[in-house]
This record gives sequence, C-alpha cells and structure tokens, in this order.
Amino acid sequence: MRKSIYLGIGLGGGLGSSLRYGVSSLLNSPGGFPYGTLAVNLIGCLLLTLLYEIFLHSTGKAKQLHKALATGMIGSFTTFSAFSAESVQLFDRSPMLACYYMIATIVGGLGMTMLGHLWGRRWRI
Amino acid sequence: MGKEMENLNILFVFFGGAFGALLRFEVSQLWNGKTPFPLGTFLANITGGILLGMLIKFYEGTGFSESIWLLSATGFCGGYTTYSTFSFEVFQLLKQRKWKEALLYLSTSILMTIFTIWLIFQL
Repeated sequence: MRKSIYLGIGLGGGLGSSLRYGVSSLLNSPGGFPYGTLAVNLIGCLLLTLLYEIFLHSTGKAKQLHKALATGMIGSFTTFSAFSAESVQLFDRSPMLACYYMIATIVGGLGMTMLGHLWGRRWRI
Repeated sequence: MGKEMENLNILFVFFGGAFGALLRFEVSQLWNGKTPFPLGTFLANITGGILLGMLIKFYEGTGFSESIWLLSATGFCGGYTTYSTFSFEVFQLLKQRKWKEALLYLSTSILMTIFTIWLIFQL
C-alpha cells in the first residue's frame, strides 16, 4: 500500500516534470516572456481542482491513483521555483512585464482553480 | 547537440522530477495541516525557489553541464516546488473566509522567495 503510493508519486512526478519540460521548450524563449511556465501553471491549476472534485469521495485504489495524478503529476507539472526566478529575471529587464507575469499567474491561477472547482463537482465518481 | 543526447535529456528531467515530487510529498506529510496555513508546501516552495536561484547563479558563473542543469533545476526544483497546490490552498483559505491567512500565505510565499532570489543575483 505504502510502496505503491511512493511509486505512483515518483512516476507521476517524473511524467509531470517531463511534460513541463516539453511545454517550456516549445513556448519559453530565452530572455523572452515565460509563456511556457505560465501555460503549465494555469493548466495545472485547473487540472488539480478538477481531480480534487472528481476523486473527492474515492477510496482505496482510486484514492491512490488520485495521489499519483495530483500530488505527483500535476504537482510536478506546475512549478513555483521557475515562476519566482523568472519574475526576478523579468523584473531586471522590464518591471512592467514582471508585474504582468506575476498578476497573470496569481489571478489567472486562482481563476483556473475556481473553474476546476465548479466543473469538477459535476463529474464526481 | 547530438540527437542521442537530446533523447537522454528527458531522462534527467524525469528522475529529477520524480525525486522532487517524492521529497515534496514527504515534506507535506510532515508539516501540512499543523498550522493555520500549509507549512509543508510553503517550505518546499521557498527552499526550492531559493535553490533554483542559486543554481541559476552557479550556472551563469561556471556553466556546468546541461545534464546537471536538467536534473537539478528543471527536474528537481521544478518537481519539488508546485504552483497548482499553492493556488489550490490559497483558494481553500479564501473559501473558508480566512482572508488574513490567505493573503499572508500568498504574499509571504511569493515575496520571501523572490526577494531571496533577487539577493542571490546581486552577489
């Protein structure tokens, strides 16, 4: 039981990070606006609450699957460290762009979280 | 860079991310749910953010290999820290009308990390 939770979170975490790397490689340009990180963080916020609502009353195997997907995959797909470092790097070039980036992530992230909450309740298993 | 090397890149990210996620899970198990706001996620995000700041600084100065960067920065720091859970926890605090806790959690997580990274970049 305990072993499979770790395995699920490890696999989910590896998969989520790899997906983030793919999206960032496509959308982030060196020295440009970090659209890739913004995209993974916003999509991840939506998916995390969707999963939370869908699996809210789940038990046993389904609950383990939720941990692997939510804590492992979506947790690693989104990133707080890149968001923070990019905000500082952007601020050096244009404080205005850094503000846009931070507001888009914070407000957009909360908006997506709320959207997942409203949608996910209809798909509860 | 050769095609074989590029195919290996994803492996470095995968293993760094897997380890980061497991460590975040352990830290959350230890510290979340014991304080008015989720201390586990808070600690993982701040320490992971600061570590990334240090790695960027070292990488610019010494230019260590790309595989180490992908393993430690993209993989580990990315997987250890999380934005989705952070946003979800702020949302939960707001839903419980804990306005002060929500604002404190949101602002201290972001400001402490950003300020420390900024300091590291000034060194």
